[in-house]
Amino acid sequence: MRVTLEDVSKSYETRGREAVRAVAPIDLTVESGEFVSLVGPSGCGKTTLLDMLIGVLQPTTGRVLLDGRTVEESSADSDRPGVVLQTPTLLPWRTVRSNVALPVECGPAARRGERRDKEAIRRRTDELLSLVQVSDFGDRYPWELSGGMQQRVAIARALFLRSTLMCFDEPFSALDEFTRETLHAELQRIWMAERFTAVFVTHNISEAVLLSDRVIVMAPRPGRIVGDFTIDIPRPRAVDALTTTELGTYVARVRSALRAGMESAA
Amino acid sequence: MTAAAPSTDVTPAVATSRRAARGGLKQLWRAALVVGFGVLVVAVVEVLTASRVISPLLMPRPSAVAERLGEVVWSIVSGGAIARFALETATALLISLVVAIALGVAIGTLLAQSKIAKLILYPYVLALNAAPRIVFAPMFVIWFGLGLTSKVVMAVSIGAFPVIVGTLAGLARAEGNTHKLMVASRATRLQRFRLVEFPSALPYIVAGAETASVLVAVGVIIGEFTAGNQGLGYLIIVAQENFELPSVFALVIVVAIMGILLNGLVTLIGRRVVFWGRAAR
Repeated sequence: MRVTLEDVSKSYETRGREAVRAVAPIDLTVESGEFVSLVGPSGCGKTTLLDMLIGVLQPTTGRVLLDGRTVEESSADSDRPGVVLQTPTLLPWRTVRSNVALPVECGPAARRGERRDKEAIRRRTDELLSLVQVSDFGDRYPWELSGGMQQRVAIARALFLRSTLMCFDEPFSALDEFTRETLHAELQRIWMAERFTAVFVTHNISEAVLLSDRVIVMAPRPGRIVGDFTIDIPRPRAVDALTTTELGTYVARVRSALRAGMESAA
Repeated sequence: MTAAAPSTDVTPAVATSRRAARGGLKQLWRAALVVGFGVLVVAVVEVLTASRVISPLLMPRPSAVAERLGEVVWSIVSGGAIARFALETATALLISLVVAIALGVAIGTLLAQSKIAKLILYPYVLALNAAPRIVFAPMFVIWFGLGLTSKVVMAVSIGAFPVIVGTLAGLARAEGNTHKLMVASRATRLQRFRLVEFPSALPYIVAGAETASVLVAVGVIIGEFTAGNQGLGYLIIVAQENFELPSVFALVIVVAIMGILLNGLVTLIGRRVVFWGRAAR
């Protein structure tokens, strides 16, 4: 899915005071099948931007287009963005299996009571559980799983509808280093298999460089884009490759753009 | 590129069995303390009443109460004269609790749907809850007659409130991230309520229902005090009028036991319904 932000800004009204601009007008295009990271310090509006893609927030000006249509117009299964957040946000009263299939029960089609093929749902769930390597835990409850496992389940849920757009909001920042590295490799593998468009918010520069085709650097007050780097390194990229000079150079360039952006902040 | 299955992932449920064994002994100790305290108090009262330091007209001898309690319980269990009254009270308790929960959830849910409705109506809910409902007892009898209905109305007018408050609190707690996911999935409002908000509110509703189970006992007895010739509340009034203090105490104990049983039942069902409760939090 091609994502286009046209002159998108977001302001918050605070009573008695001037409106706070969280995001200054931004133009950005993410090509279909591209993996793009948004990096920046807290308050640079990266999560706000993502929330506008998801449809939780409406832009104050401009428009967000998903394959040329506004967020409201897109409601086909694969148009609905898959979302992975910092916390797994699984429903504790549902088994892992039933959490993964939750998206099927949402949306206009489910409301109209369209019958879904139970066998197909079962097959898709199995397929995803094995993709994220939690096959043995399908009938467990989320709270019986470790944090890393829960996040794998959350990724499986986001993939359920074969969404062509996946939104990640710091999905690995609450995990320990080892688990995070494992999941970096996993996510790369999954993305290479499914080739969805990915918008990945993080404040971890190496993570962004490792995973992305493109790294967008943002700066705060107001939130804006101050750098756009194409990461031209063949995949799959191994985690230990991060020490190689090539990756290291990118990390250094992104970091200096970040620093320059912070210094220019009002 | 496939990573090895992570070996650090362990389910936390495994390590609990040893802890449970040690906890069993501790619980035994606690139970002994609780029972010991009760026995001590009763023994002191027995000595004071037997030696007439306290007049038996003011306080019955615990041994007399125990004797009477035995007779009352036997009468109930063996289908004697008191069984009918106990059954009437128990029926009223169960019906009141079910109605209180249903009504409480319904009102709480309605209030949670609209900020304006909540703004306008919630103060009245609080005011009604603060009002001493016992004052209305004679009115309920005039409106609803001497039978079961007025008792249930009285009990529900007391017991529905904790359920309303619990439902409201539970629904208001709707978590931001879950909401985000549901919006991303293009869930309708009803789907959000059914799939996420209502189940998340269940622990709070259950907590409200547990409080309600005790409160309806108060309501039912008030109802039976004022209305007609039904239930243990009526027997208590009769015993009081005849200065049969041991009977009054014995009957009160029976009502208390009913309340505890009802509360235990709600807790038991609640744990089944909210099976994820403690582990998930």
